[in-house]
Amino acid sequence: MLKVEFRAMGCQMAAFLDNDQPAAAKALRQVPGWFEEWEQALSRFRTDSELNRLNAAPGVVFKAGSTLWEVVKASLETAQWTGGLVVPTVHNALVNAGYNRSFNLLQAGHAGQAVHSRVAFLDDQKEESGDWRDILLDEYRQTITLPPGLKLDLGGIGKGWAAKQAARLLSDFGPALVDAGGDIAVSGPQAGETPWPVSVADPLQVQESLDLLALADCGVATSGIDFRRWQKNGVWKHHIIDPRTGEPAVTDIMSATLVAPDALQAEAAAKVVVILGSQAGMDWLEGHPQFAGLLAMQDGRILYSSRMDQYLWS
Amino acid sequence: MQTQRSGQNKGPKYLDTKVLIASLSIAVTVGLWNLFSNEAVLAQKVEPNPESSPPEAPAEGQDLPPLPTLVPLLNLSSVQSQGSSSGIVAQQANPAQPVGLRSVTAPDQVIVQKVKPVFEEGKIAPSGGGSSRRGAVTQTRSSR
Repeated sequence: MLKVEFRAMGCQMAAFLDNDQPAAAKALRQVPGWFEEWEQALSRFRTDSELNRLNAAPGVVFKAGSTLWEVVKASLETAQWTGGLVVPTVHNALVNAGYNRSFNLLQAGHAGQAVHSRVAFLDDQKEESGDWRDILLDEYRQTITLPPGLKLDLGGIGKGWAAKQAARLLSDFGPALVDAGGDIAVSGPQAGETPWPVSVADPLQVQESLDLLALADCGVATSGIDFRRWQKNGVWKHHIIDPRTGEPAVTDIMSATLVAPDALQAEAAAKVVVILGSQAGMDWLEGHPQFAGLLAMQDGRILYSSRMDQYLWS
Repeated sequence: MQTQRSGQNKGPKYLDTKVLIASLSIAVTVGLWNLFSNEAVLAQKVEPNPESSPPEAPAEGQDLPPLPTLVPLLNLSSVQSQGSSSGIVAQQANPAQPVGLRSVTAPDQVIVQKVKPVFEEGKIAPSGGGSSRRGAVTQTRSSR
């Protein structure tokens, strides 16, 4: 088995191929380059990214490259099937909450005064997020038109899409698993039909695991308020925005791990459950047979949805 | 009305002569070509070193280190423009000098690595979960 590890999109990435042949190694070497290309299209933290050029051109018919086009389209489809709970229009809400730079920089500046003064300044510039249904897509010309004032953030969806895309490209060379900062895409079982063993991190002690999953031909993602959090005016904030309020979600869940047909759906479904909270989140999960979930509660309890049994390593 | 054919009875002998001349011409051309081309080859031929053994062809699938790359070493001569106040230096290649080669080391292969063995005879032996992550190839967690 071959493995490649690197950092991209502000996260630790890894890709595995169950094949030792030189052609497989050559394909695996290309993975960091793929992520670099995708990040250049999708990042809101790179001033020269294609996404930032789109965000800077409201009301303009913007001809998108294939990556930006696919991810924006996927994000709007996600907004549709999640009933508007996971939308790409949370950019301004994230900035309003203080998430105005990459999380690495946010962490670095957290202890100093600079971040706090910047955040205080941002309070006076609070912007509305806008409605995702106002975004116009032209399928034929692959153009995107944003309404005035609306900016996109494709962070979570972008990582899920990238994991799915990389696993699909690698699958030509053998069974593949791509881990994009915890959003994991699995192309198929390993040799001998052995599933891939993937552990679920304990949000309170990340080196420890809550359980072990057996995965093949699916995606898994974890969303939570345990890591990407910061203080603003003495109040803890996190990056999971509830579009209904425009504020970080108020939830009793610390982290939600979702297994889904692909990594992109898993990423979105995990966010839905965190936003809804454990009670409504479990109800939502039971009503969607394509998903299975494990919820780590803030009070320390671990909850499993009824279909999670089929993914637990026995 | 009949048409008279001139030289009708000397036809076969005339044909033989033509074939003979054509054959000789081809033979001379091929012979000269061969002679000159051999001289050109001989002029470039290097005497083999009897002490060195011929290199063995690598076995198929053998994992060899990458070969160093040889690139031409440019021999540049700098010519300061006389009376130029701008200080621009014109560089000119010197074609009279023989082109040397410098050795460039192969790039380090740091990206791809073999995974530390988590398999035993091709089978994964996970612990079954609980508080351990032994046997897992990776971990799902909130983005970090």
